[in-house]
Formats: sequence, structure tokens, C-alpha cells
Amino acid sequence: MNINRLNKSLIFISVFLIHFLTSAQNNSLEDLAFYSDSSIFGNPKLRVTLQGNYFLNASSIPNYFLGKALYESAYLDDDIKQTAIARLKSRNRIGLEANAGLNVAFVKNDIRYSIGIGHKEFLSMKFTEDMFRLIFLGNKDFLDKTADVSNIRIKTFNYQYLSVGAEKKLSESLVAGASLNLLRGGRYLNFRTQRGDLFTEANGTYLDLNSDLNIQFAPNDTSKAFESNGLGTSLDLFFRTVKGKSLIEFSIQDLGFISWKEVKQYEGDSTFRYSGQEITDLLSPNSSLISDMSADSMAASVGIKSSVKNQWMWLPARINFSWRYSASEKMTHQVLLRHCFAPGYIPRLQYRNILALHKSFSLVNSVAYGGFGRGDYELGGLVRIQDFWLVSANLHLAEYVVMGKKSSGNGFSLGVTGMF
Amino acid sequence: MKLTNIIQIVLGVFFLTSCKNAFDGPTWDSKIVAPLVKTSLSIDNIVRDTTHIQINPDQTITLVNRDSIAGISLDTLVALNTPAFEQTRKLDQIVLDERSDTTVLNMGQILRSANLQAIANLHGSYYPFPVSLGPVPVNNVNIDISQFFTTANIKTGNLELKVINELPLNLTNVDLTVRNAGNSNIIIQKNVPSIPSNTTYITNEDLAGKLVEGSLLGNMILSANTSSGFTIDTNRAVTLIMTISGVTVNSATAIFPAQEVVNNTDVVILQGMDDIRLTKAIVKSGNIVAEAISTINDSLFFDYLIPGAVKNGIPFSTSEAVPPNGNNSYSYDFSGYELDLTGVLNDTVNTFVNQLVGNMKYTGNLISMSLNDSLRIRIGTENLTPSYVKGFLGRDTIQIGPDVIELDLFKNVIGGSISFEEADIRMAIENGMGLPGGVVINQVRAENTRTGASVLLTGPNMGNLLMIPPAIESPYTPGYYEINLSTAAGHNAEDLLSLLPDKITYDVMVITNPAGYSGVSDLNQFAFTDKSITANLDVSIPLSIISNNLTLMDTVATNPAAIKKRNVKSGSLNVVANNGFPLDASLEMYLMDQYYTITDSLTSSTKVNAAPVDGSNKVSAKQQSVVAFEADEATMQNLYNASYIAFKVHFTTEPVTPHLKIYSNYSIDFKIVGDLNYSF
Repeated sequence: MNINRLNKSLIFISVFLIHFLTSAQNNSLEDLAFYSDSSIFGNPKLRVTLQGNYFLNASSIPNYFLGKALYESAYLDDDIKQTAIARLKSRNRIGLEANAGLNVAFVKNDIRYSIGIGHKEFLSMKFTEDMFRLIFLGNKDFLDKTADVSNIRIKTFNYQYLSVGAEKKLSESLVAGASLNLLRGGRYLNFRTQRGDLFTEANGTYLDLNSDLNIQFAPNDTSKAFESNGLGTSLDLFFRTVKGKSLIEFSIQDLGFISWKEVKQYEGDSTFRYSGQEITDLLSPNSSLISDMSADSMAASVGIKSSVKNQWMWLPARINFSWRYSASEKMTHQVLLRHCFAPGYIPRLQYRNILALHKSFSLVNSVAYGGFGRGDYELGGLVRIQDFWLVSANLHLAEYVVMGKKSSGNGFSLGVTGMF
Repeated sequence: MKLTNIIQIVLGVFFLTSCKNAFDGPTWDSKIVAPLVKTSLSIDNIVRDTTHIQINPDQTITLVNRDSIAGISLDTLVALNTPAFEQTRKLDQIVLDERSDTTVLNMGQILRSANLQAIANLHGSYYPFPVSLGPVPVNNVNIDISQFFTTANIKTGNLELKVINELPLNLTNVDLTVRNAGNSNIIIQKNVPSIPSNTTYITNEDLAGKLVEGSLLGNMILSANTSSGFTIDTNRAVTLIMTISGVTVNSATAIFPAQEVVNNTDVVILQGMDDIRLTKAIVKSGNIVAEAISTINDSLFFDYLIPGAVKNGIPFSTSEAVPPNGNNSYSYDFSGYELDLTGVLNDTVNTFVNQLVGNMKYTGNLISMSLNDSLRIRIGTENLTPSYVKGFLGRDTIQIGPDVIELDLFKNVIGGSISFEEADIRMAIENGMGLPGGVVINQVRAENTRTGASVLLTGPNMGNLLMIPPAIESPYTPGYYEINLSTAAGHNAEDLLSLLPDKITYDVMVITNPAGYSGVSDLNQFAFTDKSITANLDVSIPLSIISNNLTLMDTVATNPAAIKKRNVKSGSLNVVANNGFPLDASLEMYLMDQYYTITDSLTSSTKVNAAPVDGSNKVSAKQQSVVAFEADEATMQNLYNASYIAFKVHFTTEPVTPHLKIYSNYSIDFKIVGDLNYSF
């Protein structure tokens, strides 16, 4: 990897993985689970679900900035950058989840079996205001100053999965299910500092990074079907119980790991000084000097160790708790509590109200706090077509549209389910 | 020029980090300040070729430059050319072995030839009466020696005829005739008055000039008598033994014995030697080549020897075969042979001895051969070069030049002036050969092609014959002579070098053995092929200078097509210099298109300041300066598009006077910091 690619990697992270957008068709499993249970459709012999979701949320970076950067690929002028800087805290969080999948389930001997395929993207990140400023404004404002780049966490990866599962009614009121997923790893990056100060000398003659830097990445996406940067497995579990008008569901997702192959690692715990590329042989200022300027050589020049080795990564497991209460035929309340063990994620509490406006259409409103962002509002809907099809949509766009410079977070989910 | 190299690298890094992200996405500008490259330059780095630097014991520096203007090797003086010496040798002699033939005439044959059959019938009886016979002819007795030769034209030879009379009768009035059976020529004819009983008669006949056939006929007429009775024994006989001996032939069809047919010793004299007198040479490379043609109807074997050519103690010799009536070519590696060139009696020069010996071997075959048959051998040398020669190597005049030395010490200087406190030009001549030489420097001219100015070197050593001592052979020590052309020796060397010349034209003449051959003592001269007479023009300039806006310029090619991403929109390159030289320096960069048309420039109003000097005019501390080169967006685009960048650097010593010495520990530390508006 040469210097360009290192730069690209860092910038790539810094612009929040723009090209995730290109695969932003995913689903929200717990939502579908909610709507597709037997209380609405009975117990179909065959169920086919195509689903996708995409959610991007941040604790401080406003939707306006995210929209310009990610959805418009715009030139980020000073005004745009200042809308973000104005809301930045000393510590900030951002995350992205995107899924797309196809699932087929059928019932045999009172057990519902399922098989599915899909693709997942994941990004979580914790960063400082100074880091944002360094990336988007540069370090000129930090001449003779120290920028805080401590406690930076960036974790991003993607994978494809093949899942097989089963769901069984254990008693009149208890249903349990599990699925086992085989994972094919694609891109992987894990960046971490706990201690981090970047000092720029007054004339720019050197940069001092005092940090316990640790970077791991599998640099290449894989495009061939039987190639991968790693293989893994995960387990999903859920329990559902119905008692009176209440339905309580508990699930654990992504309990597993990916073993990444030939992960490039840079690590060091010291003060690293970069004072320019040393020219030792002036008689041969040929292109080899330039071509030899790789990430490895630059890292070595400041004392950062590099290595290549296989790396295990635990998936950021998620725990979901849902309590749904059917207050009337038309009104249902739901409380969801969720946590994801990922950097920058805080427990997310959500209240959801489902109002059946018509026998074939329900309106879903929800408010939430936590996750990668802070307070969010979502609006969704559920359409039933000819007793066989169910289309669900959930939009997290109101804040983006109405108060883009003051809010963070946007996304959507979409599901189409056929019951036969 | 090293400063330009640094800037090249800066631009390389600059462009390298300009590469944009691989994906399409948002763009933005950042103001990035970061070090790009750093380096430290000492005089070693500034002068392109460190062989031009000589560090003196007091750490001062002298710029030195040596250019070879002449190399006179052994090959230039001596070539071992030999004439192709050809020997056509007819057979010296053809020898035939001694041969004999015996013919027996018994009493019965004689009595029957005398019509005395009745007496012959009394074999074993005693005949009591005296007998007188004759004359009795005994004709056409075959004498066959054709198994030795069929015909022989005798050059020399003897025929011995022996008549052994074992009869009880006395032979009288014996007429003997031997003639060729073919042409009836008489080979021998003798009349013997008496051959008494039980005696032997011998006669010899010179065969020179006679043509003898292998088939002969013998005729004999004899008379016989006895004075008393005798016992009739028809087996008793007269025996004729004919022996041919000492025969050499002019020609013959014969079974020849083994014999030496050619033996010739001759000398070869080297060609084209003029007044060169060599007594010895060691051959570095080359071959002896030979071509042999034989008209002889038998295989011929020849030995070729050069007794005076010795390698590892063994003289050169070779043995080869030439097929009957055939020819062959041969080549022999002659390298490494030490060749004695003093002739047969070791009293001459340029001469070596060779010997050719031709032999026939006995084959048992009947062949025809004559003294007109020949062995023709052409022997010569091929590409003979010496590695060593000894002897008088001749008087020769070798003209060197007029020729031009391209002097690159000052080639990037395009303006300003520089004054050297001292300057020295010398011509160093090393004589690797053991012969005296002389040199005449006809002309040395320095030229600055940029300004068109030129100066002719003048002084006492110009135009005069200056003697070069010879090398000593043992222990080998080359002769050395240095011609001082410096100002101190009365020449105008400083005038030449102050021109900052880029060309020096010279015209020199080297003379070997200027006094010619003076006697046998000159035969001890020697030369090795790897030792030559060399002449070098040495320029040395102690770096004690006064520089006034001395301007150096260098142009480097860039590759705008290779710059795919142009992310730096504008900015500046800040040169942070800690200068340890007592020189102010300012830099300008000129951007040029492919036609060398200047499209833009990068300049700075500030300069790199000279380091301060103490009372002894030595730098006391480094001086830091920051020089910024601003490039707006238009200039940056021109920088991206430039095909060439010309770097112009101006140097001025500070203080301006006196001359400031440059020491080897002086250096300048550069850090080049990019203050860039970078577009992601």
C-alpha cells in the first residue's frame, strides 16, 4: 500500500464511507418480525421476504452536512463545514448500518425453517472535534498547537451471509427461534487510539503524533464469488411470548466473529515525529524515491511498526428487547430497547405507536433516543395487499428535510413479504 | 546541481500526495502544512562528481579535475609483423634400399648349353679326360627385382656383380651382359678373361644416370676348361649375385624406405620495424598459421620448429601430416611464447629462426616419386601482438590533438563572476615504458562557449621539448614528469580558469627516443602492453573564492502526463534553510513548456542568508532563513503542465571580500514545507 492508498483510507473513513450509499437497500429485521407474526397473517406455509434498510446517525454532525457530503457529493465549502463544526462536541459519534437480504421460510412439522442470503455494511466511529477540523480544514489552524486525536475509534466492515434457521412454538405462549449464519468477509478497517496528540510545529517543519496508534485493515474488496478477506460465523436467537394483549420479544443478533486474513497492522505507542522524507542520495533523485514512499516506509520512518497477520474480529452483537401492547383493535404501543456493542453506540430506547387507519393500512410513528445519534423521529407505514402481500416502510427523514442543519440521522427501511 | 535535485523531489512528493481519492464523492479544500522533504547538503553533495573534491589536511577543499589527453601504448609503437614465409622444397633425395638378386647356373645347364648332354648324363661319375668347352652362351636369364622397384632413374648408386665359380672347371673369356628387360638398355657389360674353379669374381658398376628396370635379363658367354679329369656333379654351379646399393634416384616407382625428404633451417625477419631493434618479445596473442601442399604420392610428415620461441621452457614445435597429393591448413596459438629475436647466432635483431623437416614413412606400397616432387609450406603469423618487447623501441613522434576536453566543473554557470585565490594547471606525464621520451606542449586554450571568451596558455613551458624519464624494469617503476603550468611557474593559469571555461583545447606532441639509437645499451629498452605513456591535464582550484552573483542554472524534465491528480490547488513551498556556507543564495524556478518556452516562474523576495563568519573568516554558526515560493492557482496549473523546470540559483559570498575558504564541514540543512491548499 503506498502513501496514496493510506491517504485514501483515512479520507475514506473521514468522509463517512460515501460509497455505502450505493448499496443502501436494507431491512430492519425486528420491524419485519413485528409485522409478520401470526397475529396478522396466521401461520403461512411459505413466507418470502425481500428487505433492506439503511440508517446513518450521528451525535453531532448535522444532516445538512451529511446530505451534501454523502447524497449530493457536493463541494464542501466553508459554510457547509461550519454547520458541522458549530454542532461538534469535543467527542462525537457516528454510525451506519445497512442491510439487504432475501429470506424464505416454510413450515414443516410445526417448525418454521428459513434460509436466507444477504449483505451487511457496518460503520461505527468515535472522534474528536479536532480530528474533524484536521480533516476538513487542515492543520494550518493548528500551527504551534496540539490537536486532540485521542480516543478515536473507527470500525467498519462488510460481509455477505448465508443463513439457515428454525423457529418453534415451545408452548402456547412461547416461541423460540435461531439462525446460524456463515459469513464471507469483505472490507475491514479497525482504527483505534486511546492517547493522541498531534502537534504541528510553527513553521510546519515537523509533526509530532503522541499516540498509541493501532490500525488494522484488509485493504481490498473482493469481487469474485469464492474469494474473501475472511470467513466467519454468527448466531441469531430470539424468544417471543404472548400474554394477553402483550407481546414480548427478546433477541440477540450477530453473536459471532469473522477471521480476517492477512490483515495489515500498524501499531505503536510513542511520540512519532514526521519531518519530511529524508533524502540521502542526492545523486540519484530518481523516481524510485517517490515510488518507494509507501505507507510502510513512512510508518517505519517515524517508528510505527507494521505487520501482516490473521485477525479475529468479534461482530458487534446486538441485543433487542421489545414490548408490544395492543391497546385496542386500532391502537398498538411498542417499546423497544436496543444496544449494539460497537464504538460510539449508546443504548437506544424507542417508543412506537401503530395506528390502524384501515384494515389494510397502518400508520407507524416512533420516537427514539440513543444509538449512534441522539433524539430521532421516524414515520412508517404498513400496507396489506390481497391477504398475501405486506409492504412495510419506515422513514427517518423528517429531521433531514425539516431541520437539516440542526439535526442528525437519516435512513429508511423497506420490506416486501409474501405469505402463501 | 543538487539544489535542483531537491526541488525535483519536493515536486515529486508534492504531486504524489496530490492524488485524489479513488471514488467519486464530496470534495473539499484543506489547508495543510506539512514537511515534504529534508536534507543536508555539504560540498560533497553540491559538487556533482565527488571525485572532483579533494579535502586538504586543514579541511579546506580543492576542486580537482583530471582529464586524460593521451595514452600511448605498446601497440602504438610496435607491431610484430612477420612476412609470410613460404618454403617450397623439392625432395632432397630419394633413397632406395640395398637390394640383391642371385642367379645360379649349374653344371647341367652349362653342359646342355654346350651340347654335351652325354657328359651331363654321367652325373656322379668321374670323367677322366681334360675338357675344353665353349664358347657356351647362356642367354636371357631373368633377374627380377621388380618387388623393390619397377623403374628407377638412378641418380647415384652402385651395382656389384659377384660371380662365384664353384664348378670343377675354370671359366675363361666370360662375357657378361645385364640389360633391362623392357628397353633392352645395357646396365652392365663385362668381359672377364678367367675365373678359375672355386674362385669368385667381383665387379662394380656405377649406375649413375642409368634407368634401371625391375626386370632385367642377363646374358653370359663363357668358355671352360680343365686340364685333368673331374667328377661330374651337375649340381655344382656358377652363382651370379647382383647387388644394387647406395642408390638415390631422380625418380622411381618403388617401395621406398622411411626417409627424410626435407630439412631446411631459415630465418624470419620482422617487417616494418623501421629503426626498431627488438631482441625479445613475449607474444600476447596471435597465431602461427600454416598451409601445406604435397605432390608426393605418399603421406608426408613434417615438423615445424621455432627453436627461439619458448613457452614454459618448451620450444614451439608442431608435427603434422600432409595427405598424398594433398594439402592441409593449420593454426597454432602462439600466445605466451617468448620469442628470441637475435637470430641463429644471437648477433642480430628482429629475427627468429625456424626449421622445417619433412619425412616419409615406410608403407610397403609401390609408388612413383621423383626429385621434382615437392612439399610446399606457407607459414605466417596472424594477429601477433606483444605483451612485452625488449630492444630499441625506435624514435617516433606522436601527435596528440588538437583535441578538446569538455570541462564540466563550471558548466552550469550562466552568469556572475567568481574569483579564485589560486589556480593551478599541470600536465602530469607517466612513462610506463623503458624508453626515454619527450613532450612538447604546442598549445592549451581555455574557452567559455557561453561568453565566447577564450584565453591561450602562455609561459616558459610552452613549445619546448621537455624530457620524460624512462621506466625502470626491475623493480618496475614508471617514469614520472609533471609539467607545471601554474601561475607560480610563470604561466597565466588563473586567467584561464577565471573564464569559467567549459572547453579546453590542447595540442601536444610526444616523442619517443628523441636522441635516436645510440648503441647496444639502447637494446635494454622495454615496454609492456599494459603500461603506457599517459598524459593528464590536471586542474586544481582551492575553494577560496569571491563570488558575485554567481548564477548557476539547470533544467530538469518533468512528466506532466504522469500527474493524473492535481489536488494541490495553490499554496507555497517554504524552504526552511539552516545555512552553514558563507554564501547568500537565492532561487528562481522557471516553468517551461515542451518547446522550452517559459510559461511561468516561481520566485521569492527573500533569500537564504549566508552564515556569519568569525575573525578568521570561518563560519561561526548556521543561519536560518525561510524562503517562501508562492503559487496561485494559475501558477499551480502551469506547474502541473510544465514539461521542463529551469532552476536558477545565485550565489554571493558574504562578506564580499576577502576570498573565503570553503571547508569540508560546511553544510546547509534544508527542510521544505508545503503550505498547501489541498483539494480532497
